[in-house]
Amino acid sequence: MAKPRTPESYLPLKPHWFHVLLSLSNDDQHGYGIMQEVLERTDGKIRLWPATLYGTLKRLMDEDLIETSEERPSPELDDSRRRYYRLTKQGRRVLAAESRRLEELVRVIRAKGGLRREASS
Amino acid sequence: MSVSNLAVLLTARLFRALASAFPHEFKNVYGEEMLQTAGDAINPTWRRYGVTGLLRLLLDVALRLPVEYASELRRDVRHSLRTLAASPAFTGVALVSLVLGIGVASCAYSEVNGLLRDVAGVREPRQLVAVHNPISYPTYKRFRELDDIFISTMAYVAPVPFGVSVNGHTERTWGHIVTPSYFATLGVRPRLGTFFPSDERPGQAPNIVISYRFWQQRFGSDPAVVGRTILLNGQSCMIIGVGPRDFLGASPMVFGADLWLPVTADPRAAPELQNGTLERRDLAMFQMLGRLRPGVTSDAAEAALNAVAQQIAATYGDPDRDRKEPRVQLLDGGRALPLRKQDVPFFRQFLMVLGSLLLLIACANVANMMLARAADRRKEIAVRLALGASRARLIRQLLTESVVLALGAAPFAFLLSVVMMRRLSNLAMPQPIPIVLDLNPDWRVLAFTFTVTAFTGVLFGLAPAFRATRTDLISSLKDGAVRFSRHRAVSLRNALVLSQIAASLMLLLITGYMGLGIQNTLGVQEGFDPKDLSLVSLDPVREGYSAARAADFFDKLTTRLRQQPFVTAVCLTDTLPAAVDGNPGVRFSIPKRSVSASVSAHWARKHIVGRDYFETTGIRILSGRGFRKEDQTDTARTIVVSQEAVRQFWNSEDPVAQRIQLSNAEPTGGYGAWPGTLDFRSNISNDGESFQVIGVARDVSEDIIASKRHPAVYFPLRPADYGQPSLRGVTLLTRTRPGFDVISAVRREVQALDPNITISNARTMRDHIAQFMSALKAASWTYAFMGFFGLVLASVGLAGITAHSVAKRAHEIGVRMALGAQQRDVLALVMKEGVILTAIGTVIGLALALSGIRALSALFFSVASIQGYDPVLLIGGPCLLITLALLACYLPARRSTRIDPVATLRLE
Repeated sequence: MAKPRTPESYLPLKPHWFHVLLSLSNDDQHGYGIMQEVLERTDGKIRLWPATLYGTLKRLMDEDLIETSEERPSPELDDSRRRYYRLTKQGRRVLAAESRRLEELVRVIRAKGGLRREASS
Repeated sequence: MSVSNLAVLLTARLFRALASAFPHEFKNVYGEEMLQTAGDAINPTWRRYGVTGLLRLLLDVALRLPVEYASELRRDVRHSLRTLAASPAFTGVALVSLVLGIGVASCAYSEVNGLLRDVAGVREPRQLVAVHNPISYPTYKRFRELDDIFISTMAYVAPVPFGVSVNGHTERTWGHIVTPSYFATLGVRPRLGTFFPSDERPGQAPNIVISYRFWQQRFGSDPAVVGRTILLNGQSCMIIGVGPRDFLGASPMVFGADLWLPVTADPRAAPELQNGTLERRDLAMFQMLGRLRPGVTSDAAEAALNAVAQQIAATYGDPDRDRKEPRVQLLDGGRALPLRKQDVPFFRQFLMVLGSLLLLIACANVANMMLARAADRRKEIAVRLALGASRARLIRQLLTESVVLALGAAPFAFLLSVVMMRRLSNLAMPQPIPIVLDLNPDWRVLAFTFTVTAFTGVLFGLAPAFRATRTDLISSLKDGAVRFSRHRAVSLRNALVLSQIAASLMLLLITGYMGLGIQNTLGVQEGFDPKDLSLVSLDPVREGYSAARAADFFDKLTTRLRQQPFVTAVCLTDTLPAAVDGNPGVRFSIPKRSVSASVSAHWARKHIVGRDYFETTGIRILSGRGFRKEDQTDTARTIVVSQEAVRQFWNSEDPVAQRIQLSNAEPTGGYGAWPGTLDFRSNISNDGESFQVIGVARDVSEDIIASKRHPAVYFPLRPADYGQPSLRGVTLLTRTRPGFDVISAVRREVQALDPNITISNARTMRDHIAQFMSALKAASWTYAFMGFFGLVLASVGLAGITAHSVAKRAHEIGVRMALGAQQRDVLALVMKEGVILTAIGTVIGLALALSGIRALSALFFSVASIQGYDPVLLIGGPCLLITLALLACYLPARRSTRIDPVATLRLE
């Protein structure tokens, strides 16, 4: 077993990883759900194609950032063939760390006036 | 079916096909889900993006495929590294084995690569052919008329020493005397200036071409060097050109050249050109090289040349004009080391087979250790199989481990071959001429090493991987005992170890015999006294002296040296004891004796020595006298013969005052091919002359390899010979009282007589002998190393077998110990297998070694010189093997005594 890594050691997070973690931040999701969520959230700009999605899920599982969830939604919504994923504690920490990093980045850009000039021009 | 349905269906099918190619582990966990998600996504994708979307979907899965495999490989490599690091002893021994095995194979390949290399800087070397034996200039002139065979031809004399004086500083430099067509035939372009024009007329003021290296070293790459005049053998010559970088002439390995003088030059520029060299048919001193016309085979050229040679022999009525055998043999002219066509496969195969054998031993050994380890790991493997890993997957992972191991060894193996080959390339050769063995590994060797490594990794990993994954799940999981295909696994491993023991013992004994044989000849310089003897070479002819002036100079020098209080004897000589710069030798025919004996029995080694030679070297005169001043005239025909010559030709009767007929022998066997033995000078006319024996000298053992004694004939060194010195020049031998440095005294005296004279090869006789023997010493060390290495490998294999046996029988041992068995009973039980293998292997190895030694005795005298069977080796070798083997069995067997019977019974 590899030694547990600090959340900061994952930063900066790969965009795919970030989006998958973000879609799991509120609810458990199955693969197709994550795909849909990312697509809607980014207005269709980011699309996780199936192979990339499962490649990413596999890496996140290997890194212990997500796990399969035993909780199933209510039977009428449940697709028994699907597996649900949820964040682990470590996954949540990593997501938080990456979010902080991005916020900080945006703050720096704002302080430089970068976005304003862009918007005004 | 609508287009839309068709597209969706086709995409789904393609996606399924690609998904099924994913790594097993990925498919196991995510395969179904991914297919399902893709299936759900295909329709929306088609509606939203059309064909582009579907293509994007397929492209995504196709691109993911290699990524997943790479990631699996990365994990396997990481896992392998961890496993290997966890057992450092195994990893260490395996790495050492592989480094040695792959290193030796790389060395063998470097040697082949270096020896069979093309001449640097030559255009289309494959078109070039060389005539095997040197020919005379008139013969060359006839050969070059074959212009339907050759595009162009050239001839050169090599090696030729020159005294080159630049800015008042003289140095001995090796060069070639060449026909003007030399550079054009090789297809070489000058770096600076020009080469010799084709219409160069004889007797012109000498022009020379120098090598790039010489230009750099002696002229500091001065761009204005063309047109400069330098002193060559005391004559002024003009430099007209500089050769291209790396070009050292037509034969860079054995006769590397730094300057080229045309044959048309004034004969005073080189003693080799004097005495009608270009007209004499009896002076075969020219190497000929030709460029074949396209479509002309080397065989056709050889036939044409032979026809001409036959005509020449018939025209001049040569004594051998009726000879049927071919007179001319062609070699590959474009190779750095000219070889006969039929010899190339030998060089290639012999070395490669030797290298591959050692590599195979190393591989067998590591495979064996991996097998033993597989026994330790069967639980891990069984667990993974039970968890759904496929067998192919596990084999791939185990193979990754062996390839990782091999790749870890590769850089060290390459480094080893670089070091070994550099040492070999720099080995001082016993010849008086500089032989450049450029065997340094290049990119080809690097590529070879890595290819061999990858191959090796698979080779030694495959069998253990297959065997390890063929486990019986239930029993392995239950108690970890080996129940898997037990009989076959053991017999394969035993066969491996058995062959290893036998092979390494044979290797050790044979190499030991060779080594001992060489050691026996080292230092045994019988017949003369190398202590307090120094030698210095002088070559005043290369400083522009005439023979008469040189004689005067030597007279003065020896007189002055004799006056030194610590000098006890001084002499001049042409040949030296313990040197291979020999000559074809002479043929004997004694009057009133039948010539029924074979020709080889009439052959004798030729020495040309000055007066006082026997006193100075300490070679005893057994009968008659040594040379005196009156023998050194041109008309005196006196010789001294060796004891062995007396034994062979006179039935041990005293031959002093008898006359015999001597003629020049033809270069035969090794003497024709061995570089540095070419000596085209001759002091006997071709038809033979009569000589009077004045003394008998004691035999001198002076061969590289102690062999049967050769008969020898000593001729007096005459002042005329100073004008045609050997490649070494004239050597001054000085014997002193112990502890005096005579070399600086000689330097002083030479300086006092003529400051322009340079001296070379200044050293003591002991250093001279050491250099003479260095190649052999290196060989004997190599043999010893190889033998010992094989033995260590075999012991490691045995240790593996015993460890395996212990693991296999842990349960049985536990029960036995619980029932009261003693430690030594248990030890005997687990060591039995190893001991039996050692015993059988020793017997087979001994038998093989003895027959091998007998076969080798026929080839090498050194082996025979130990009288066949040396007790030290014959008993010591197997004893060493048995000791090592028992130790190798005992160490892992000790583990068996630590088995806890209680724990074993609890498992029951």
